[in-house]
Amino acid sequence: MSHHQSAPQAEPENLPFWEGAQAGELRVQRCQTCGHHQLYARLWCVSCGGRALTWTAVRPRGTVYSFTVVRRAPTAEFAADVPYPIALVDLDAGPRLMGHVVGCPVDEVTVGMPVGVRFAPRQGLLVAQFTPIGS
Amino acid sequence: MSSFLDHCAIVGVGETAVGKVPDRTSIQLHAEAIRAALDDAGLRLRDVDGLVTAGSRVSPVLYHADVVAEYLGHHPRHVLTVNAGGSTSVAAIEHAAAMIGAGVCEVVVVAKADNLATGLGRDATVASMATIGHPAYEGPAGPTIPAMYAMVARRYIHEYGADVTDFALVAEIDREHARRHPAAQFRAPLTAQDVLGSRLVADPLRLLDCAPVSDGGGAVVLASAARARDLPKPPIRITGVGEHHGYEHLTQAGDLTVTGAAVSGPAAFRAAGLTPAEIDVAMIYDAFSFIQCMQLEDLGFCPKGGGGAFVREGNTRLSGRLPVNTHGGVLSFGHPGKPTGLFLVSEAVRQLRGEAADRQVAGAETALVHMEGGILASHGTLILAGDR
Ligand SMILES: [Zn+2]
Repeated sequence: MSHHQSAPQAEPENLPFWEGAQAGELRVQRCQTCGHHQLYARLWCVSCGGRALTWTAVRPRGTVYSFTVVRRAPTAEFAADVPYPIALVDLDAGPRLMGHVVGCPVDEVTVGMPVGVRFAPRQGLLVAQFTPIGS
Repeated sequence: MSSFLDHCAIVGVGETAVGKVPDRTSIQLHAEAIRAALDDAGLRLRDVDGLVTAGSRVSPVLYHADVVAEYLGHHPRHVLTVNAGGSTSVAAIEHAAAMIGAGVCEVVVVAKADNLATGLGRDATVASMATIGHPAYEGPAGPTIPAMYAMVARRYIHEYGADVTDFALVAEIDREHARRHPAAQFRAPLTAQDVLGSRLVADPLRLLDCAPVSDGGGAVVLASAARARDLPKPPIRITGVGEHHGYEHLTQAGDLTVTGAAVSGPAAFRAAGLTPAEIDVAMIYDAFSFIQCMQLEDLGFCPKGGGGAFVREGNTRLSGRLPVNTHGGVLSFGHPGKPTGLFLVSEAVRQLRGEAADRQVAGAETALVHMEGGILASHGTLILAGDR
Protein backbone atom coordinates (compact mmCIF):
# COMPACT_ATOMS: atom_id res chain seq x y z
CA MET A 1 0.00 0.00 0.00
CA SER A 2 1.20 3.45 -0.85
CA HIS A 3 1.92 5.91 1.91
CA HIS A 4 1.22 8.79 -0.42
CA GLN A 5 -2.04 10.27 -1.50
CA SER A 6 -3.37 8.60 -4.63
CA ALA A 7 -3.25 10.73 -7.74
CA PRO A 8 -6.77 11.33 -9.01
CA GLN A 9 -7.86 8.56 -11.32
CA ALA A 10 -10.58 9.09 -13.86
CA GLU A 11 -12.04 5.59 -14.04
CA PRO A 12 -13.77 4.81 -17.35
CA GLU A 13 -17.13 4.77 -15.54
CA ASN A 14 -16.69 8.44 -14.61
CA LEU A 15 -15.15 9.68 -17.85
CA PRO A 16 -18.26 11.65 -18.87
CA PHE A 17 -17.80 13.78 -15.74
CA TRP A 18 -14.22 14.66 -16.69
CA GLU A 19 -15.12 15.15 -20.35
CA GLY A 20 -17.79 17.54 -19.12
CA ALA A 21 -15.17 19.36 -17.10
CA GLN A 22 -13.05 19.74 -20.25
CA ALA A 23 -16.08 21.19 -22.02
CA GLY A 24 -16.76 23.55 -19.12
CA GLU A 25 -19.86 21.63 -18.06
CA LEU A 26 -20.82 20.09 -14.73
CA ARG A 27 -22.30 16.68 -15.52
CA VAL A 28 -24.02 14.23 -13.22
CA GLN A 29 -25.48 10.78 -13.76
CA ARG A 30 -29.27 10.99 -14.10
CA CYS A 31 -31.76 8.18 -13.55
CA GLN A 32 -34.29 8.06 -16.38
CA THR A 33 -36.76 6.23 -14.15
CA CYS A 34 -36.95 8.48 -11.08
CA GLY A 35 -34.88 11.53 -12.03
CA HIS A 36 -32.33 11.03 -9.22
CA HIS A 37 -28.94 12.63 -9.82
CA GLN A 38 -25.83 10.85 -8.56
CA LEU A 39 -22.05 11.20 -8.42
CA TYR A 40 -19.88 9.10 -8.60
CA ALA A 41 -21.17 6.92 -11.42
CA ARG A 42 -22.77 3.53 -10.74
CA LEU A 43 -24.31 0.79 -12.81
CA TRP A 44 -27.71 1.56 -11.30
CA CYS A 45 -29.58 4.32 -9.50
CA VAL A 46 -28.95 4.16 -5.74
CA SER A 47 -32.37 5.73 -5.15
CA CYS A 48 -34.67 3.40 -7.15
CA GLY A 49 -32.40 0.71 -8.58
CA GLY A 50 -33.23 1.73 -12.14
CA ARG A 51 -30.63 0.78 -14.71
CA ALA A 52 -31.44 3.39 -17.35
CA LEU A 53 -28.90 6.11 -16.62
CA THR A 54 -27.65 9.01 -18.69
CA TRP A 55 -25.24 11.86 -18.12
CA THR A 56 -26.70 15.32 -18.03
CA ALA A 57 -25.22 18.80 -17.67
CA VAL A 58 -26.56 20.67 -14.64
CA ARG A 59 -26.36 24.28 -13.49
CA PRO A 60 -22.96 24.72 -11.82
CA ARG A 61 -24.41 26.20 -8.66
CA GLY A 62 -24.62 25.04 -5.09
CA THR A 63 -24.53 25.95 -1.40
CA VAL A 64 -21.75 25.39 1.12
CA TYR A 65 -22.95 22.57 3.42
CA SER A 66 -19.81 22.79 5.52
CA PHE A 67 -16.17 23.80 5.25
CA THR A 68 -12.83 23.88 6.98
CA VAL A 69 -9.52 25.60 6.51
CA VAL A 70 -6.64 23.13 6.29
CA ARG A 71 -3.62 24.50 8.12
CA ARG A 72 -1.49 21.37 8.11
CA ALA A 73 -1.06 19.75 4.69
CA PRO A 74 -1.54 15.98 4.31
CA THR A 75 1.34 15.61 1.84
CA ALA A 76 4.20 17.69 0.45
CA GLU A 77 2.24 18.44 -2.71
CA PHE A 78 -0.23 20.51 -0.68
CA ALA A 79 2.35 22.20 1.55
CA ALA A 80 2.49 25.36 -0.56
CA ASP A 81 -1.31 25.69 -0.51
CA VAL A 82 -1.90 25.99 3.26
CA PRO A 83 -4.02 27.52 4.59
CA TYR A 84 -6.63 26.35 2.09
CA PRO A 85 -10.41 26.21 2.52
CA ILE A 86 -12.15 22.96 1.60
CA ALA A 87 -15.91 22.87 1.33
CA LEU A 88 -18.63 20.31 0.93
CA VAL A 89 -21.08 21.85 -1.50
CA ASP A 90 -24.61 20.65 -2.09
CA LEU A 91 -25.32 21.21 -5.76
CA ASP A 92 -28.71 22.66 -6.63
CA ALA A 93 -28.94 19.51 -8.79
CA GLY A 94 -28.53 17.22 -5.75
CA PRO A 95 -25.13 15.56 -5.36
CA ARG A 96 -22.54 16.82 -2.90
CA LEU A 97 -19.05 17.80 -4.08
CA MET A 98 -15.80 18.44 -2.22
CA GLY A 99 -13.32 21.03 -3.40
CA HIS A 100 -11.35 24.17 -2.64
CA VAL A 101 -13.04 27.51 -2.25
CA VAL A 102 -11.23 30.18 -4.25
CA GLY A 103 -11.90 33.83 -4.94
CA CYS A 104 -12.41 35.00 -1.37
CA PRO A 105 -10.24 35.29 1.76
CA VAL A 106 -10.03 31.99 3.67
CA ASP A 107 -11.85 33.44 6.68
CA GLU A 108 -14.84 34.59 4.64
CA VAL A 109 -16.19 31.16 3.75
CA THR A 110 -19.48 30.46 5.55
CA VAL A 111 -22.01 27.65 5.83
CA GLY A 112 -24.91 28.38 3.48
CA MET A 113 -22.83 30.53 1.15
CA PRO A 114 -23.98 30.25 -2.47
CA VAL A 115 -21.17 29.22 -4.78
CA GLY A 116 -20.52 28.54 -8.41
CA VAL A 117 -18.62 25.48 -9.59
CA ARG A 118 -15.75 25.73 -12.01
CA PHE A 119 -12.94 23.42 -13.02
CA ALA A 120 -9.24 24.09 -12.60
CA PRO A 121 -6.23 21.93 -13.43
CA ARG A 122 -4.63 19.97 -10.60
CA GLN A 123 -2.38 16.92 -10.71
CA GLY A 124 -3.14 16.35 -14.38
CA LEU A 125 -6.91 16.49 -13.97
CA LEU A 126 -9.48 19.21 -13.94
CA VAL A 127 -10.94 19.38 -10.45
CA ALA A 128 -13.98 21.16 -9.13
CA GLN A 129 -13.47 24.47 -7.34
CA PHE A 130 -16.01 26.75 -5.76
CA THR A 131 -16.29 30.54 -6.03
CA PRO A 132 -18.64 32.77 -4.01
CA ILE A 133 -21.50 34.28 -5.97
CA GLY A 134 -24.05 37.00 -5.38
CA SER A 135 -22.37 38.78 -2.51
CA MET B 1 -35.48 -13.04 24.11
CA SER B 2 -32.79 -15.57 23.29
CA SER B 3 -29.82 -14.54 21.23
CA PHE B 4 -26.56 -15.96 19.92
CA LEU B 5 -24.97 -13.63 22.46
CA ASP B 6 -26.27 -15.83 25.31
CA HIS B 7 -23.80 -18.58 24.50
CA CYS B 8 -20.56 -16.70 25.04
CA ALA B 9 -18.71 -14.32 27.32
CA ILE B 10 -15.64 -12.12 27.30
CA VAL B 11 -13.15 -13.98 29.46
CA GLY B 12 -9.86 -12.19 28.89
CA VAL B 13 -8.48 -8.80 27.89
CA GLY B 14 -4.95 -7.54 27.46
CA GLU B 15 -2.81 -4.80 26.00
CA THR B 16 0.80 -4.14 25.19
CA ALA B 17 2.54 -0.95 26.20
CA VAL B 18 0.86 1.97 24.37
CA GLY B 19 2.59 5.12 23.18
CA LYS B 20 6.03 4.94 21.64
CA VAL B 21 7.20 1.32 21.64
CA PRO B 22 10.24 1.50 19.36
CA ASP B 23 11.56 -1.98 20.13
CA ARG B 24 8.48 -3.81 18.87
CA THR B 25 7.16 -4.62 15.39
CA SER B 26 3.46 -4.83 14.58
CA ILE B 27 3.47 -8.62 14.68
CA GLN B 28 5.37 -8.72 17.98
CA LEU B 29 2.76 -6.38 19.44
CA HIS B 30 0.04 -8.76 18.23
CA ALA B 31 1.78 -11.69 19.92
CA GLU B 32 2.24 -9.79 23.18
CA ALA B 33 -1.37 -8.59 23.27
CA ILE B 34 -2.65 -12.12 22.63
CA ARG B 35 -0.38 -13.51 25.35
CA ALA B 36 -1.57 -10.87 27.82
CA ALA B 37 -5.25 -11.54 27.10
CA LEU B 38 -4.85 -15.33 27.32
CA ASP B 39 -2.97 -14.99 30.63
CA ASP B 40 -5.80 -12.79 31.88
CA ALA B 41 -8.32 -15.45 30.80
CA GLY B 42 -6.36 -18.31 32.33
CA LEU B 43 -6.19 -19.99 28.92
CA ARG B 44 -3.34 -21.25 26.75
CA LEU B 45 -2.65 -20.75 23.08
CA ARG B 46 -3.65 -24.33 22.32
CA ASP B 47 -7.15 -23.61 23.68
CA VAL B 48 -7.75 -21.06 20.92
CA ASP B 49 -9.79 -22.35 17.96
CA GLY B 50 -10.61 -18.96 16.40
CA LEU B 51 -8.36 -15.96 15.62
CA VAL B 52 -9.55 -12.67 14.15
CA THR B 53 -7.17 -9.81 13.30
CA ALA B 54 -7.50 -6.60 11.32
CA GLY B 55 -4.20 -6.14 9.49
CA SER B 56 -1.35 -3.69 9.90
CA ARG B 57 -0.90 -0.35 8.20
CA VAL B 58 2.83 -0.44 8.95
CA SER B 59 3.50 -3.99 7.73
CA PRO B 60 0.72 -4.83 5.30
CA VAL B 61 0.37 -8.47 4.26
CA LEU B 62 -2.26 -10.24 2.18
CA TYR B 63 -3.66 -12.65 4.77
CA HIS B 64 -2.86 -11.00 8.03
CA ALA B 65 -4.52 -13.31 10.57
CA ASP B 66 -2.83 -16.30 8.94
CA VAL B 67 0.54 -14.58 9.28
CA VAL B 68 -0.17 -13.93 12.97
CA ALA B 69 -1.20 -17.57 13.51
CA GLU B 70 1.99 -18.74 11.82
CA TYR B 71 4.09 -16.39 13.97
CA LEU B 72 2.39 -17.69 17.10
CA GLY B 73 3.06 -21.27 16.03
CA HIS B 74 -0.57 -22.13 16.57
CA HIS B 75 -3.18 -22.77 13.89
CA PRO B 76 -6.81 -22.36 15.02
CA ARG B 77 -9.50 -23.97 12.84
CA HIS B 78 -10.92 -20.50 12.08
CA VAL B 79 -8.56 -17.67 11.09
CA LEU B 80 -9.90 -14.45 9.57
CA THR B 81 -8.74 -10.92 8.76
CA VAL B 82 -11.43 -8.24 8.96
CA ASN B 83 -11.67 -4.47 8.53
CA ALA B 84 -14.40 -1.96 9.25
CA GLY B 85 -12.09 0.90 10.23
CA GLY B 86 -12.39 2.21 13.78
CA SER B 87 -15.52 0.17 14.44
CA THR B 88 -13.80 -3.12 13.51
CA SER B 89 -13.63 -4.25 17.13
CA VAL B 90 -17.40 -4.39 17.54
CA ALA B 91 -17.85 -6.18 14.21
CA ALA B 92 -15.07 -8.64 15.05
CA ILE B 93 -16.42 -9.35 18.54
CA GLU B 94 -19.92 -9.81 17.09
CA HIS B 95 -18.47 -12.24 14.57
CA ALA B 96 -16.58 -14.13 17.28
CA ALA B 97 -19.74 -14.34 19.40
CA ALA B 98 -21.68 -15.65 16.42
CA MET B 99 -19.05 -18.31 15.69
CA ILE B 100 -19.24 -19.42 19.32
CA GLY B 101 -23.04 -19.20 19.36
CA ALA B 102 -23.19 -21.36 16.24
CA GLY B 103 -20.98 -23.95 17.89
CA VAL B 104 -18.20 -23.55 15.34
CA CYS B 105 -15.64 -22.25 17.85
CA GLU B 106 -15.18 -22.44 21.60
CA VAL B 107 -12.43 -19.88 22.27
CA VAL B 108 -11.91 -16.97 19.87
CA VAL B 109 -9.23 -14.28 20.17
CA VAL B 110 -9.73 -10.88 18.55
CA ALA B 111 -6.35 -9.15 18.35
CA LYS B 112 -5.15 -5.91 16.82
CA ALA B 113 -1.88 -4.05 17.00
CA ASP B 114 0.23 -1.64 15.03
CA ASN B 115 3.28 0.54 15.48
CA LEU B 116 2.15 3.66 13.65
CA ALA B 117 4.20 6.08 15.74
CA THR B 118 7.60 4.49 15.28
CA GLY B 119 7.05 2.11 12.35
CA LEU B 120 5.41 4.64 10.05
CA GLY B 121 5.82 7.99 11.80
CA ARG B 122 3.35 10.77 12.27
CA ASP B 123 3.69 12.45 8.87
CA ALA B 124 3.48 9.23 6.86
CA THR B 125 0.49 8.14 8.95
CA VAL B 126 -1.28 11.42 8.22
CA ALA B 127 -0.45 11.07 4.52
CA SER B 128 -1.60 7.45 4.35
CA MET B 129 -4.86 8.28 6.08
CA ALA B 130 -5.57 11.07 3.60
CA THR B 131 -6.15 8.37 0.96
CA ILE B 132 -9.55 7.77 2.56
CA GLY B 133 -10.92 10.48 0.26
CA HIS B 134 -12.42 9.34 -3.05
CA PRO B 135 -9.38 9.25 -5.38
CA ALA B 136 -11.01 11.34 -8.10
CA TYR B 137 -13.75 13.38 -6.44
CA GLU B 138 -12.28 14.12 -3.00
CA GLY B 139 -8.53 13.41 -2.92
CA PRO B 140 -7.55 16.26 -5.26
CA ALA B 141 -8.84 18.76 -2.67
CA GLY B 142 -6.21 17.57 -0.18
CA PRO B 143 -8.57 16.70 2.67
CA THR B 144 -6.74 15.44 5.75
CA ILE B 145 -8.62 13.23 8.19
CA PRO B 146 -8.86 16.17 10.65
CA ALA B 147 -10.17 18.34 7.79
CA MET B 148 -12.96 15.90 7.05
CA TYR B 149 -13.92 15.63 10.72
CA ALA B 150 -13.64 19.42 10.94
CA MET B 151 -16.34 19.77 8.28
CA VAL B 152 -18.60 17.57 10.41
CA ALA B 153 -17.80 19.70 13.46
CA ARG B 154 -18.48 22.94 11.54
CA ARG B 155 -21.92 21.75 10.46
CA TYR B 156 -22.67 20.47 13.99
CA ILE B 157 -21.81 23.93 15.35
CA HIS B 158 -23.91 25.58 12.65
CA GLU B 159 -27.04 23.51 13.28
CA TYR B 160 -26.91 23.00 17.04
CA GLY B 161 -24.86 25.90 18.33
CA ALA B 162 -22.28 23.46 19.66
CA ASP B 163 -19.40 25.15 21.43
CA VAL B 164 -15.69 24.47 20.95
CA THR B 165 -15.10 25.09 24.66
CA ASP B 166 -17.21 21.98 25.37
CA PHE B 167 -15.15 20.03 22.84
CA ALA B 168 -12.01 21.13 24.68
CA LEU B 169 -13.54 19.97 27.95
CA VAL B 170 -13.91 16.45 26.52
CA ALA B 171 -10.14 16.38 26.06
CA GLU B 172 -9.61 17.73 29.59
CA ILE B 173 -11.82 15.05 31.15
CA ASP B 174 -10.21 12.28 29.11
CA ARG B 175 -6.85 13.47 30.42
CA GLU B 176 -8.11 13.61 33.99
CA HIS B 177 -9.03 9.94 33.66
CA ALA B 178 -5.79 9.00 31.89
CA ARG B 179 -3.88 10.43 34.84
CA ARG B 180 -5.38 7.59 36.88
CA HIS B 181 -4.35 4.90 34.38
CA PRO B 182 -0.71 3.80 34.68
CA ALA B 183 -0.58 2.63 31.04
CA ALA B 184 -2.10 5.68 29.34
CA GLN B 185 0.13 7.41 26.77
CA PHE B 186 -0.56 10.96 27.98
CA ARG B 187 -0.69 11.60 31.72
CA ALA B 188 0.54 15.18 32.14
CA PRO B 189 -2.14 17.63 33.30
CA LEU B 190 -4.22 19.13 30.48
CA THR B 191 -6.94 21.76 30.71
CA ALA B 192 -9.58 22.92 28.26
CA GLN B 193 -7.65 26.20 28.08
CA ASP B 194 -4.58 24.28 26.88
CA VAL B 195 -6.70 22.70 24.15
CA LEU B 196 -8.16 26.06 23.10
CA GLY B 197 -4.65 27.51 23.05
CA SER B 198 -3.18 24.80 20.83
CA ARG B 199 -2.74 25.58 17.15
CA LEU B 200 -5.50 25.16 14.59
CA VAL B 201 -5.09 22.04 12.47
CA ALA B 202 -8.31 22.34 10.46
CA ASP B 203 -10.84 24.90 11.70
CA PRO B 204 -12.49 24.53 14.15
CA LEU B 205 -10.30 21.62 15.32
CA ARG B 206 -7.07 22.31 17.19
CA LEU B 207 -4.10 20.04 17.72
CA LEU B 208 -5.29 18.84 21.14
CA ASP B 209 -8.79 18.12 19.83
CA CYS B 210 -7.17 15.39 17.72
CA ALA B 211 -6.00 11.92 18.74
CA PRO B 212 -2.30 11.14 18.82
CA VAL B 213 -0.56 8.59 16.59
CA SER B 214 0.61 5.68 18.75
CA ASP B 215 2.13 2.21 18.89
CA GLY B 216 0.35 -0.57 20.74
CA GLY B 217 -1.95 -3.52 20.62
CA GLY B 218 -4.86 -5.14 22.37
CA ALA B 219 -6.66 -8.47 22.46
CA VAL B 220 -9.96 -9.78 23.73
CA VAL B 221 -10.73 -13.46 24.37
CA LEU B 222 -14.27 -14.77 23.99
CA ALA B 223 -15.28 -18.24 25.12
CA SER B 224 -18.41 -20.34 25.19
CA ALA B 225 -20.55 -19.82 28.27
CA ALA B 226 -19.77 -23.38 29.38
CA ARG B 227 -16.03 -22.83 29.08
CA ALA B 228 -16.27 -19.41 30.72
CA ARG B 229 -17.73 -20.90 33.89
CA ASP B 230 -14.50 -22.76 34.68
CA LEU B 231 -12.17 -19.79 34.23
CA PRO B 232 -10.68 -17.72 37.05
CA LYS B 233 -12.10 -14.29 36.16
CA PRO B 234 -15.84 -13.54 36.24
CA PRO B 235 -17.25 -13.81 32.71
CA ILE B 236 -18.49 -10.57 31.14
CA ARG B 237 -21.60 -11.08 29.08
CA ILE B 238 -22.36 -9.24 25.84
CA THR B 239 -26.04 -8.41 26.22
CA GLY B 240 -26.48 -6.19 23.20
CA VAL B 241 -24.76 -5.34 19.94
CA GLY B 242 -25.63 -2.97 17.12
CA GLU B 243 -23.94 -1.81 13.94
CA HIS B 244 -24.54 0.80 11.30
CA HIS B 245 -22.63 1.32 8.09
CA GLY B 246 -23.83 4.43 6.32
CA TYR B 247 -21.21 5.42 3.73
CA GLU B 248 -17.50 5.42 3.08
CA HIS B 249 -16.82 8.70 1.26
CA LEU B 250 -17.82 11.90 2.98
CA THR B 251 -19.50 13.32 -0.16
CA GLN B 252 -21.87 10.32 -0.09
CA ALA B 253 -23.14 11.00 3.43
CA GLY B 254 -26.38 12.85 4.01
CA ASP B 255 -26.93 14.74 7.25
CA LEU B 256 -23.51 14.86 8.89
CA THR B 257 -24.85 15.99 12.26
CA VAL B 258 -26.56 12.70 13.13
CA THR B 259 -24.22 9.71 13.27
CA GLY B 260 -24.85 6.00 12.80
CA ALA B 261 -24.78 5.73 16.61
CA ALA B 262 -28.43 6.76 16.40
CA VAL B 263 -29.06 3.35 14.78
CA SER B 264 -26.41 1.09 16.33
CA GLY B 265 -27.11 2.37 19.86
CA PRO B 266 -30.86 1.75 19.95
CA ALA B 267 -30.33 -1.68 18.34
CA ALA B 268 -27.91 -2.63 21.12
CA PHE B 269 -30.23 -1.26 23.81
CA ARG B 270 -33.18 -3.23 22.39
CA ALA B 271 -31.15 -6.43 22.39
CA ALA B 272 -30.03 -5.83 25.98
CA GLY B 273 -33.46 -4.77 27.18
CA LEU B 274 -31.92 -1.66 28.73
CA THR B 275 -32.29 2.10 28.42
CA PRO B 276 -29.44 4.63 28.42
CA ALA B 277 -30.31 5.59 32.00
CA GLU B 278 -29.42 2.06 33.10
CA ILE B 279 -25.80 2.24 31.88
CA ASP B 280 -23.22 2.70 34.66
CA VAL B 281 -20.13 3.52 32.60
CA ALA B 282 -19.50 4.21 28.91
CA MET B 283 -16.51 4.05 26.58
CA ILE B 284 -17.06 6.26 23.55
CA TYR B 285 -14.55 6.45 20.72
CA ASP B 286 -13.29 10.00 20.51
CA ALA B 287 -10.51 10.25 17.95
CA PHE B 288 -11.66 13.89 17.86
CA SER B 289 -13.02 15.60 20.95
CA PHE B 290 -16.36 16.79 19.49
CA ILE B 291 -17.49 13.39 18.30
CA GLN B 292 -17.88 12.28 21.90
CA CYS B 293 -20.58 14.96 22.26
CA MET B 294 -22.37 13.91 19.06
CA GLN B 295 -22.28 10.23 19.94
CA LEU B 296 -23.51 10.84 23.51
CA GLU B 297 -26.54 12.45 21.90
CA ASP B 298 -27.10 9.81 19.25
CA LEU B 299 -26.76 6.99 21.78
CA GLY B 300 -29.58 8.59 23.77
CA PHE B 301 -27.70 9.77 26.86
CA CYS B 302 -28.87 13.35 26.27
CA PRO B 303 -31.05 15.24 23.81
CA LYS B 304 -29.76 16.03 20.31
CA GLY B 305 -27.59 19.12 20.55
CA GLY B 306 -27.15 18.59 24.29
CA GLY B 307 -23.85 16.70 24.21
CA GLY B 308 -21.75 19.72 25.08
CA ALA B 309 -23.98 20.64 28.02
CA PHE B 310 -23.97 17.02 29.19
CA VAL B 311 -20.17 17.14 29.35
CA ARG B 312 -20.11 20.66 30.85
CA GLU B 313 -22.47 19.61 33.65
CA GLY B 314 -19.91 17.03 34.78
CA ASN B 315 -21.87 13.92 33.86
CA THR B 316 -18.95 12.24 32.11
CA ARG B 317 -16.45 12.74 34.93
CA LEU B 318 -15.52 9.87 37.21
CA SER B 319 -17.83 11.38 39.83
CA GLY B 320 -20.64 12.00 37.33
CA ARG B 321 -23.84 10.24 36.38
CA LEU B 322 -22.20 8.48 33.41
CA PRO B 323 -18.43 8.29 33.68
CA VAL B 324 -17.05 8.17 30.12
CA ASN B 325 -13.68 6.88 28.94
CA THR B 326 -12.26 6.09 32.35
CA HIS B 327 -9.01 4.92 30.70
CA GLY B 328 -8.43 8.30 29.07
CA GLY B 329 -10.29 7.83 25.80
CA VAL B 330 -8.75 7.79 22.36
CA LEU B 331 -7.37 11.28 22.97
CA SER B 332 -5.23 10.44 26.00
CA PHE B 333 -4.94 6.65 26.31
CA GLY B 334 -3.47 6.41 22.82
CA HIS B 335 -4.43 5.66 19.22
CA PRO B 336 -2.49 2.99 17.34
CA GLY B 337 -5.30 2.74 14.74
CA LYS B 338 -7.65 -0.22 14.78
CA PRO B 339 -6.45 -1.54 18.20
CA THR B 340 -7.91 1.57 19.81
CA GLY B 341 -11.43 0.14 19.88
CA LEU B 342 -10.21 -2.88 21.84
CA PHE B 343 -8.87 -0.56 24.55
CA LEU B 344 -12.45 0.64 25.06
CA VAL B 345 -13.62 -2.95 25.44
CA SER B 346 -10.87 -3.93 27.87
CA GLU B 347 -11.52 -0.88 30.05
CA ALA B 348 -15.25 -1.69 30.16
CA VAL B 349 -14.44 -5.28 31.12
CA ARG B 350 -12.12 -4.12 33.91
CA GLN B 351 -14.79 -1.75 35.20
CA LEU B 352 -17.35 -4.57 35.28
CA ARG B 353 -14.91 -6.87 37.07
CA GLY B 354 -14.11 -4.19 39.62
CA GLU B 355 -10.45 -4.15 38.53
CA ALA B 356 -10.17 -0.49 37.55
CA ALA B 357 -8.29 0.56 40.70
CA ASP B 358 -8.09 4.37 41.10
CA ARG B 359 -10.58 4.92 38.31
CA GLN B 360 -13.16 2.31 39.38
CA VAL B 361 -16.79 3.34 39.00
CA ALA B 362 -18.33 2.01 42.20
CA GLY B 363 -20.73 -0.87 41.63
CA ALA B 364 -20.55 -0.74 37.81
CA GLU B 365 -22.73 -3.55 36.46
CA THR B 366 -23.53 -2.39 32.93
CA ALA B 367 -21.23 -0.78 30.40
CA LEU B 368 -21.70 0.62 26.92
CA VAL B 369 -18.88 0.60 24.39
CA HIS B 370 -19.26 2.58 21.19
CA MET B 371 -16.84 3.07 18.33
CA GLU B 372 -16.86 4.51 14.85
CA GLY B 373 -14.74 4.16 11.74
CA GLY B 374 -13.93 6.24 8.71
CA ILE B 375 -15.35 9.73 8.96
CA LEU B 376 -18.16 8.68 11.32
CA ALA B 377 -19.11 6.26 8.56
CA SER B 378 -19.32 2.90 10.35
CA HIS B 379 -20.55 2.47 13.91
CA GLY B 380 -20.63 -0.35 16.44
CA THR B 381 -22.17 -0.47 19.91
CA LEU B 382 -21.74 -3.16 22.56
CA ILE B 383 -23.56 -3.43 25.85
CA LEU B 384 -21.73 -5.51 28.45
CA ALA B 385 -22.82 -6.82 31.81
CA GLY B 386 -20.90 -8.19 34.73
CA ASP B 387 -21.97 -11.05 36.93
CA ARG B 388 -21.31 -9.34 40.22
ZN1 LIG C 1 -33.82 6.14 -9.91
